[in-house]
Amino acid sequence: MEKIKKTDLKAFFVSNNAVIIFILLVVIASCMSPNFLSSRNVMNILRQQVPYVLIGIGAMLTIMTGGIDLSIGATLGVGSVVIALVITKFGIMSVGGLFFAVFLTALTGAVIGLLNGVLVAYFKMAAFIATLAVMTIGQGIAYMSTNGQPIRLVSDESRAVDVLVEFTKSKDPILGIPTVVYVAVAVILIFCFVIKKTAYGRLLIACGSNEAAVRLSGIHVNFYKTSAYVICGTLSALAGIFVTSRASSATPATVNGGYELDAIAAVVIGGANLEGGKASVVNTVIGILIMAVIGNIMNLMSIAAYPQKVVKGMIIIAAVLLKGLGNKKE
Amino acid sequence: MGEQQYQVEMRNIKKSFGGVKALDGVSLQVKKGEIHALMGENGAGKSTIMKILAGSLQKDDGEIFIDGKAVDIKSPGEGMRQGISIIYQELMLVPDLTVAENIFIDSLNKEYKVIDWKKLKVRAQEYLDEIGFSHIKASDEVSGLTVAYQQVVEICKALSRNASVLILDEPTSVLSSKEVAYLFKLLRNLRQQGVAVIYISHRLDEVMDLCDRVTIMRDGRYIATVDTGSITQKELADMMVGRALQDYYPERNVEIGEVNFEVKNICRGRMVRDISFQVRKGEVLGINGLVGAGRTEVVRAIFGADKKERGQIFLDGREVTIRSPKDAIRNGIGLLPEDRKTQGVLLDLSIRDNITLGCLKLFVSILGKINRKKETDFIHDMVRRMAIKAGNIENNVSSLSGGNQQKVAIAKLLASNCKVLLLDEPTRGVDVGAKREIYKIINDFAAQGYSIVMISSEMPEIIGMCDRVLVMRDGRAAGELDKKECSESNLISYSMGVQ
Repeated sequence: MEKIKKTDLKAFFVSNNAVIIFILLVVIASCMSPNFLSSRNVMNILRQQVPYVLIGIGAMLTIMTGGIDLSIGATLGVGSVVIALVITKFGIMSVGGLFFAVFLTALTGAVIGLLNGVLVAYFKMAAFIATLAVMTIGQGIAYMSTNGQPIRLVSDESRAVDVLVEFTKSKDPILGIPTVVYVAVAVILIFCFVIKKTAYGRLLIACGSNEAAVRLSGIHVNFYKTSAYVICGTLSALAGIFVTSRASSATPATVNGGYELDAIAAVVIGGANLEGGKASVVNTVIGILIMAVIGNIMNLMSIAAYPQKVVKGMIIIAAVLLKGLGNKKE
Repeated sequence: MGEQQYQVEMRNIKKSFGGVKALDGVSLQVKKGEIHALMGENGAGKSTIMKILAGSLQKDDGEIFIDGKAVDIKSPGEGMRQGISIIYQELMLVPDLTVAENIFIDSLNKEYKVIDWKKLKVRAQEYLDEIGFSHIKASDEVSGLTVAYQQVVEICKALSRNASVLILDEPTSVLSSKEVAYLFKLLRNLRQQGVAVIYISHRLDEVMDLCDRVTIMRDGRYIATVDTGSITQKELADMMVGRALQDYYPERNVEIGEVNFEVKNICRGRMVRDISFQVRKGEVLGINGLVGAGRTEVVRAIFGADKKERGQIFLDGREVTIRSPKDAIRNGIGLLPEDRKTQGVLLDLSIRDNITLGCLKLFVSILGKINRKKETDFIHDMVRRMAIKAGNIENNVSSLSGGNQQKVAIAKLLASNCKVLLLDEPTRGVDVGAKREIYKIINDFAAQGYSIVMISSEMPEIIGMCDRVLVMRDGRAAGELDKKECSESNLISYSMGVQ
């Protein structure tokens, strides 16, 4: 009896290692800095993670199909630039116009994703190479369309800009949680539902698990693979809107922000298999929060940016090692 | 050391995978210098117990003694140190390295800082010469050798580790009869030198010819150990199945109807040249021929899995266009692929996910949500109809035995509601009991008016199951035989081109 209990406990630790690491980090962080658990700091962390939630889920979808999307950061940067360009070039003033700008941005992301998806699924290019090429193209376009200059969103000219900027600053009156966090939660819930409950989610997992068998079962594998990239591209471009609205300006340099690697790292910390198959939205989000807490506590302790990178990298290695340890025991 | 000193003794070994008992108190005793067969249907637990002995799986309970000493083998490395070497069905060689490098691969990093290639080659050649295969050169690349010779290299690798126990898992399934003779000679040599050989095989005649004693397992349980001299093949087969092997091919009572499936002039490269045939409702058409005659290629071209260059497909007299598996299934043509593990099932996903993969539409409500209860009922019904032996439908398919995996693949095919079934080696790698159940399932399909095309390499199966047989040779139809003409000698002469 003892034995069974022990293995159950071990299995629990292995399958929930991301959650456990996260809780440990929070405990450590709150011991190291009294400011960590202040509501101001917590809300700040959550607000900053909104774009990462979108691209993390996007990255997870492509990884589930056995692929990868390296163009996430570039697409995010393009999205960030497109929303600012549409607003300034078209002189958009109204809130309706803002919705149009958001729609155009999402569409741009979807088109970039479609390009990735078609290259990977239909032209059978290695996802790593195809999305690397698309990433390079996206970077070029972001700089070309802005002549390499930042675009400032000046609020007093346009109601649209006001709404956009206010939206990221606003919070709900009762709990004081930033409105954008609710957007992220909604996205998380939607994709939890999609992955766990829908036929689409089931087939996406199946495509990553054994493509040949799924194809011979009469399922349009290429459609599902492509769709993952389209959703990823759309989410990435939408994430770019949050980045722009936070800064009230868009800069093409965002394409070089390394967002894609943070997103992929979060998915991996969340326990997904890079060869495709099952993955968990919740664990991916926890992966994002792990990265966020590490960054935040180091900021609070005034550690410089470059050492932060070293620590982040080591945490990724540690998380993956822990997961591997669990697999070996199987 | 008395005669009863066993080289290997396993007592009361138990092992479960996800709730299914794979081994339930199995014992095995192997003497020094004997060839000991381990027999049983697929799923009986033969491979599992050998993996436990070699250390690549851990037992849940039981004891292992090597040379009289109790041991606890926790890893393949430890197994090797105990003198146990296992040769799996899939050979573990590095194709791009030479024979010598492969033989000494695990000592390469230990013994030498700088490798003395000459010495290595000489030592490898010594092993090859010693066991009578001096025409294999130590400097040959492994990728250039036949499978049989690759097996010889594996055995040399085992010998170089001073193996006192050598386990072979169905070594002859890929060998020609001449190569089998070589292998047997080699194994008898090893017996002489005092090696304990454990030989897993399905082939009764081989076991009777080669082995001294045989241990029979069934459903993860130990049944008996007998001297091969004191038993007949038939008795052995009966012990494996646990019932008399009469009526092996179940009776089929089917009214054969109209032609409802016809293909004309299907062409694809050299492997499929101008193949035409018809299948009636309730009829089972066999496709036979040697390996490489183009049998699999024909059904894949019909199914749209490979692009056909030419040819027409008719359903109920109406021509249909099939460019992809999706087209085929939409038109009611389904394929059971030849390679179960890479094409038939999704090993890492649950039985649930597998069975309803192609028919999720049936359970989808608003927003694409799967109605789980409806799906579960459907799956339980399928599991019952196919007699799939599984602890729980949420378990991964990889936890099932070969026969049950195949039944899951058939259930998946059946669920997608096809009326024409292309079955490519439906009983390959499946044990005797499950084979018969699959035959029954095929008969049920026929009775319900399905049209069935069944590829098989096993002539008794073709003769026992098919109403008509298309024999292929070099991508062409060599002949079509009806039930009366269908005999082993006819099948052979058509498939080899000797009339």
